[in-house]
Amino acid sequence: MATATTSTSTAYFTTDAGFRTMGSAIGTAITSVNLIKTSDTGQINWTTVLHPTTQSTVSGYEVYRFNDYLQSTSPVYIKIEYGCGSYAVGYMGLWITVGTGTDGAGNLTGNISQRVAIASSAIDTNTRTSYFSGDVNRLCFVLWPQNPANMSSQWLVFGIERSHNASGVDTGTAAHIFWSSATSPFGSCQYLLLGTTTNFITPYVSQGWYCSIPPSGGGSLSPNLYSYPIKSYNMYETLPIFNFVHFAGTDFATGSTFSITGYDSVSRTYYVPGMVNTNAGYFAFTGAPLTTALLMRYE
Amino acid sequence: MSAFSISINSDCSTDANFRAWITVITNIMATAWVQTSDTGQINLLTVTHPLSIGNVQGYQIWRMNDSLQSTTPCYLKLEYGASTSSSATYPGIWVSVGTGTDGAGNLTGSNGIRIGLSSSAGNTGGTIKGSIDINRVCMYVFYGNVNTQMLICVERTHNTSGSDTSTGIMCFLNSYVSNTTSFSCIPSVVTTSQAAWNFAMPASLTSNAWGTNIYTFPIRTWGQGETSPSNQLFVHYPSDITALNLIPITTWEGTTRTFLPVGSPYAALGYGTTVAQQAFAIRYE
Repeated sequence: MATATTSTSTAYFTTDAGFRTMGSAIGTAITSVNLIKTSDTGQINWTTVLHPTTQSTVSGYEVYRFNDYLQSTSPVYIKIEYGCGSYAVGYMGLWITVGTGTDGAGNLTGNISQRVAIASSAIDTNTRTSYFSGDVNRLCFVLWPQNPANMSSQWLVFGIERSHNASGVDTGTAAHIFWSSATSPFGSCQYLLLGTTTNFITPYVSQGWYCSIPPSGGGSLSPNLYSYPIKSYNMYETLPIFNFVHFAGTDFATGSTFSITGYDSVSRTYYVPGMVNTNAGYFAFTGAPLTTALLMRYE
Repeated sequence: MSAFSISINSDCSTDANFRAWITVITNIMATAWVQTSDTGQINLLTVTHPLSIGNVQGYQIWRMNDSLQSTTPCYLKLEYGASTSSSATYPGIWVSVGTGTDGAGNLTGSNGIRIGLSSSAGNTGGTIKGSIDINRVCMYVFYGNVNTQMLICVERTHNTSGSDTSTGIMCFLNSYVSNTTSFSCIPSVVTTSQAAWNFAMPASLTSNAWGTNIYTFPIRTWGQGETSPSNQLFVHYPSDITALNLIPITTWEGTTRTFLPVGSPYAALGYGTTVAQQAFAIRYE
């Protein structure tokens, strides 16, 4: 397990150098938390790539893969495309696709997820820290949080991990894919089955993370604070993910680190990157729910 | 464990009718739970029917009879009276859960939550359906009319294998007046009741039938965070399952149990959905 941080100007580039600095920092952080960059041809060259000058333009891609014991039987490949998002020229955008194979030239094969677009719709002039956590079998990151003025307009959130059994152990069944940004402020998720095409069901994309939080009261019950697990959905509700959990917005302070014990009785370290959502899941049917925020796994 | 379906009339207009429906509930509870020796409990031979809306005429205290009762006791207090709705001839039941009793009908170790269930109509053709065991009860009282029926569902929390744990008690309720309520009773922890159940249901679907299977949605409450799912209730899309057709439901720990879909779609059973209509199934074995 590993963590990494980057410090770059927030989601905004106007020059080739700025784009290269921002994008290469993401790639470097991903490999530093134990994912493997594949040898696919055609991947972005951070010394020569030019910055995109129009909206919704991709300048290049990288392909990463898990490196765990399940990779040989249930492979997971992650393609990240870097460019300018859909909101304004110079605003960063990522397109992320997950597949079970690659053709060696940057094209994913096998079971393939939706091509996820995450993009900032706001920027600020400060240098902001981005947070990464990963291992050979998972990845999560939150880019450019901690700007209270823009919060979910600026952040880019992504996480991928394997499905788990009732003991919390990875299984080769599927990959949980979670994302959120200005393009999907309530969050979206996808449960990508990793099996053969004969048992593959077109992955359903949930508009909203699958999490229920009480509309009042929060999770502070002395002597503990309780957070709320997030699940995927594909035919049925899955067991919870470990990359992210939600919590009542008043229970944890931005920048704090906590140990949270999951349903499998394993304690994991989480960080509060500074996001506050007012509606981050399928838990509101009447009025505004409790203000909620996000904890990312950080170990 | 056993399922039941018994005729019961939603009526408090006479002493006899008031005693009749309480007697049915009493007889069901007595098949698996133990009525405590608390003083002051309702006397079904002498109790009179309520004359004003919201009147409570008496109570019973029941306790589970399982192996955890000695270390993590669960007491259920049922108070019987008249609906808080439009007429004293309609029944009302108040539900409380605690971890002890003072011997005089007052729960101890309780979180102080007392939920009233009320009918808003009379019903002479209803039934009480559900199932009971020494460690749980799930009964749909005055079933057959959305204005009369009341759901009382009490069970222990469960571990990831589906076995009962001593963490706490989960209580799920529903009636015309209180709509959907859930709460948990966790020893030494202050919890609050919630005005809806805790489940998540994709808003963009109207059915969850995939291949040869139909998938339902587990229901939880909140206590120390999110509790384990109920083993007695599941939500489903109304069009997926025909009411009153018994169905087996296999949960994530691999156990298959028999459930009775009760129909009567609701618009807002839970916090976790914006789906227009939901229905639920009760354990029936």
